[in-house]
Amino acid sequence: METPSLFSPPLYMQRHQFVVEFVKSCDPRKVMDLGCADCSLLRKLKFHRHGIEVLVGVDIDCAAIRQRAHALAPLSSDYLQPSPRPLTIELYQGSVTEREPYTRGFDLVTCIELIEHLELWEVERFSDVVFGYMTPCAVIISTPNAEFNPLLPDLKGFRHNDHKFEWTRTEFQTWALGVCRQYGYSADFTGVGEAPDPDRGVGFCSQIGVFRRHADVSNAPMNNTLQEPTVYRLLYKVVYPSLCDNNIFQRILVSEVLYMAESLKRQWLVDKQGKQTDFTSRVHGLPSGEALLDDSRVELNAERNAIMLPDENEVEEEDEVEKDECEEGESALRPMKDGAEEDWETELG
Amino acid sequence: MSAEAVLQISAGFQQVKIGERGGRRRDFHDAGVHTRQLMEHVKESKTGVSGSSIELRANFMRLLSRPQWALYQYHVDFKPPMESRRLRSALLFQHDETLGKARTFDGALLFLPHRLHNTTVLCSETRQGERVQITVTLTNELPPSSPVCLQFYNIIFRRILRMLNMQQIGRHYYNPDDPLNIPQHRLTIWPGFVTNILQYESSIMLCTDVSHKVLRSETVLDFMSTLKQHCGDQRFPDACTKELVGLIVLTKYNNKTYRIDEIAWDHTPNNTFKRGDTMISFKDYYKTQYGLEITDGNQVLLVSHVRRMGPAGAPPPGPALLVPEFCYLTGLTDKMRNDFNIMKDLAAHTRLTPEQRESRLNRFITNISKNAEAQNELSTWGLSFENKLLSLTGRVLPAERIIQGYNPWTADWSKEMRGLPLISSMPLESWLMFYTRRNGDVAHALLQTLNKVAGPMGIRMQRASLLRALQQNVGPGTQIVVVILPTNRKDKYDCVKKYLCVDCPTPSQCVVSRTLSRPQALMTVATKIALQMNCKMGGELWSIEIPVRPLEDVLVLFRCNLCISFCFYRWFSKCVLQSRGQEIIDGLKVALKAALKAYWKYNNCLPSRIIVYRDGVGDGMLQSVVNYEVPQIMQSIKTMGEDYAPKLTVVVVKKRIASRFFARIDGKLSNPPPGTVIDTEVTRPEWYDFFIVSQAVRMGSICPTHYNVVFDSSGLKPDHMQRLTYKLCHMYYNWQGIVRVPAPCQYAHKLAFLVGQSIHKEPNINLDDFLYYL
Repeated sequence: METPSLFSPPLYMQRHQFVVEFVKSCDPRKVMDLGCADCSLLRKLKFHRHGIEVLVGVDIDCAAIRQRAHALAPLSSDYLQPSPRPLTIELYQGSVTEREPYTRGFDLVTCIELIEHLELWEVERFSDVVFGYMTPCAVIISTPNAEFNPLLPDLKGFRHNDHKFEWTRTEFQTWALGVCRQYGYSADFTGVGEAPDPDRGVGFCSQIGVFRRHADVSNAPMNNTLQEPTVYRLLYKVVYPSLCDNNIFQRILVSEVLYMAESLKRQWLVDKQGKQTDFTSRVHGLPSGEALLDDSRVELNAERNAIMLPDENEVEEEDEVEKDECEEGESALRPMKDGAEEDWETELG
Repeated sequence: MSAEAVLQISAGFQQVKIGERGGRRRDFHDAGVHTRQLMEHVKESKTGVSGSSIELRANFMRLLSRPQWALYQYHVDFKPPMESRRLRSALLFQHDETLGKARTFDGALLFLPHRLHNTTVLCSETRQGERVQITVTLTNELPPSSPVCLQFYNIIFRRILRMLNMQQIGRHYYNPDDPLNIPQHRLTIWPGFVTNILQYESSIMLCTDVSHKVLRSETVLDFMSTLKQHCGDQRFPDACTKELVGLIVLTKYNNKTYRIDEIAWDHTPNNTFKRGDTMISFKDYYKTQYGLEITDGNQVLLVSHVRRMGPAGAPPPGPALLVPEFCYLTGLTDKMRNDFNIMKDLAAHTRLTPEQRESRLNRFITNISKNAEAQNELSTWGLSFENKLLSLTGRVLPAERIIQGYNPWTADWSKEMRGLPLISSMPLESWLMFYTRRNGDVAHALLQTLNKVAGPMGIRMQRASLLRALQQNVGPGTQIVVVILPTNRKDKYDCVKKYLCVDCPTPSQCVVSRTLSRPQALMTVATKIALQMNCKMGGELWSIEIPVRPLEDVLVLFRCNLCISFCFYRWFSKCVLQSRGQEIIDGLKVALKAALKAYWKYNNCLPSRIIVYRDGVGDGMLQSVVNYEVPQIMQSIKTMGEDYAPKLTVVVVKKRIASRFFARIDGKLSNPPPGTVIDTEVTRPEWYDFFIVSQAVRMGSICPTHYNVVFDSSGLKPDHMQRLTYKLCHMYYNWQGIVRVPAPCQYAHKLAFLVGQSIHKEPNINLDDFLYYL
């Protein structure tokens, strides 16, 4: 376990920041996070979107996904000012050791603190699925650096009980380079969470490998993927409003044009009138106010406005009240007969 | 009945609440305020009898659940104890086959729609391989109408609204996929729904009404810079504060709404705040946290005092500082409200006729029943909704005799008023009219027309003295002052009102010259002015019969600055300004005393009956009205003398409600006629309450008013209570028709508005006998 005070900002945030920086520099379009758990990296990427258009999270634990999935929904402001680029977020329940045709052709796949939860034989499968089947352009894999462990206070055994192994830098890099050779990738090694000065030699607390596919290795043939059965289960999908949607684009465009036209008109009227500030000269701009005077039911009011609709009409966003025009009264509504004197007091008994 | 009894009314109502994400919430449904059981005369029945019955439809739908449905509440214990709530859920939910799919768990309480054994012991294993023993103990079987169940239905329903891709803004849900745009003003309107599920008279029902949210697709920063252009650097801070404070904003990076309370003129995004244990500037924070770039580093920040409690009842966090660039405005500003064009455009979109409203509601129901996910959620819990609106029977009260020949369907007698003599008119002998030289013509025209219309009404009118300076001319003998204002500038109006209400108590009538500028309309305008002048001087325009002897007295309480209007065919108003934090009772005592003294002055006795209409009670405030205000009213009455014990009735009046009623008239769904009373089905069993539709509307759907009698020692029959309330809606002299609330409430509202907006001081007591604030 990482003690929170050891790193600032906390290590998990540094890992996420690392991915954000990578996204910023490489501008991937389709990004998938394997082992997304509570979707915290996806939430982060949703804000630091840059060029991302498809954001996918996969985890084997569907309860974890379900719990926080709604946090990925668009915000009200996403509707008010739709972004120029589309964004779709999807969450799947599935295993990283299974071949899912949908996962092919991504630009970036991230596996943050994932592989150490797999048994070593599963790591084999994982390498084959991610590098050999999904064949994304880039992969970011982070895993604990076992050499750092002596620096963590009170740590016995692994950092987390579910960890099946924790690799030293050499072990990680050996595995990584093996993968690179086999599937046509090249890897760079770095990490986050530097050790304090005297122990700098042990490396980062979390080691990170950034894999890039060799340009000359073509994408695996896509045609046969169509026949393969899907094995992941879609748990959540949301399409963000964007200007790429024609309806939205038209609506926004029309709104903006009309608003600009209105502003220009207003500006023009002001310029034309020069410095005149007299109220009466302005009222020409308010034709509907004038028209109201025709209504015999206008309320003359002692408020600052001369004419107001009846003040029962507190028009909020709600519809409300106005008056007028007779319909034929029903018999039920006829006034009581004059003779019918009433006395509630005596009825009380 | 004693004050202790009142205090007991809702004491002891402390039940478990289902924990909700994000800490505590106020109970907006006022559940658990049981007032009816303490009023002997309405225990059996609270329905009236008079009037003719009418078939109505209401925006309610019954909640259907399978027979013997109940919610089972369990306590869940972990051994060894587990700290994290998430871990606890994960461990518990490993037992799908035992618990089933429908479940709600907040870390300690588990709710299931089916019964397990009294004690169930489950074993789970953490990822670390630690074995945990979970004991699930049945603690409660909750019938469908129990408060927890109701709260639970509402939570489920909100979940369903989210599944329909609706966005929560404030307390309600709106549909962002189907917006209406008013581009001229950059307004976006989202249609949505107000929903609540409650135990109503006969069954548990979902009440749902169409609601609209006005949003603006411009940020506060855009708004500020436009404002700056318009009013210049000098006036900008003032104008900005005036426009922005009180508005609700929506942020770009989360779905929360904030109310702008202040503007921090000395803060910019470059300022830093403490985050964890490092200092970070707003600029860097938003950059790293949300990838949002602040383009204008010089913008001032907005301050919002967050009142909501933190999680687990922790005190609310300090004020939030917001960056204008990341805040969208919602709602309308006062300036927009006063703009006819905007309001007209808005009304076109948001005023729905009864038929349109019904079809929106029906579409909503269909959407829920078509959505597989939502249906799945409902069916796992064994719930469903009746897919049609509730039918019920209401009554239309007989119309009041006010003026011969008036048509009750219109709820308006302004046409019939013209040329009729008034009940009592004040001779106009000494009055003044002020105008500027430019407005000389309109002033003369008004004068002539006033003479013309005043004759038939029975107002005698002397030649007016035409003078210009108030101070020089208004003396103790002046009955009324008419001021023709050249523009509708508020400061001028305020200054006139302030002088004439506080320093030199004289009724006054202000008219903006533009109103008088159209000869065609002058007749109408002058009639209204004449009527208004008459009642400001103490005249009576029309009257209703109230068949109770001795004369009925009606008092009304209104919000914090307190007004009492008081009717025995005369009106008396007292406004007591209240400073923040001051007990209501102080002002109440003063006002009540003054009102009773005035009553004594005219009748030589004290009233035997006092009815209080309490307006302005928000959602969730009923409890405090019952627990604190009612005893305080009783206490205030006590101070008038030990042996003075009038009969007291306290009625809470609510205008903003979601209930709507439609009547089928000539095969068309339309608004129910004025005088429609609804006191069955959709009322609440624990209250003595009823709805009255008192107005008629030309556009849109009518909104009924809800009356809740929270205390009544008068023994008046429900029928009479309803009739009296309706009668009082006829008595607002500023409107020749029926208003939405009893006239005292309307008067109090008007007085409070005048004092709050213009005078800011307690008006002179010499004016208390007049309706000077109309």
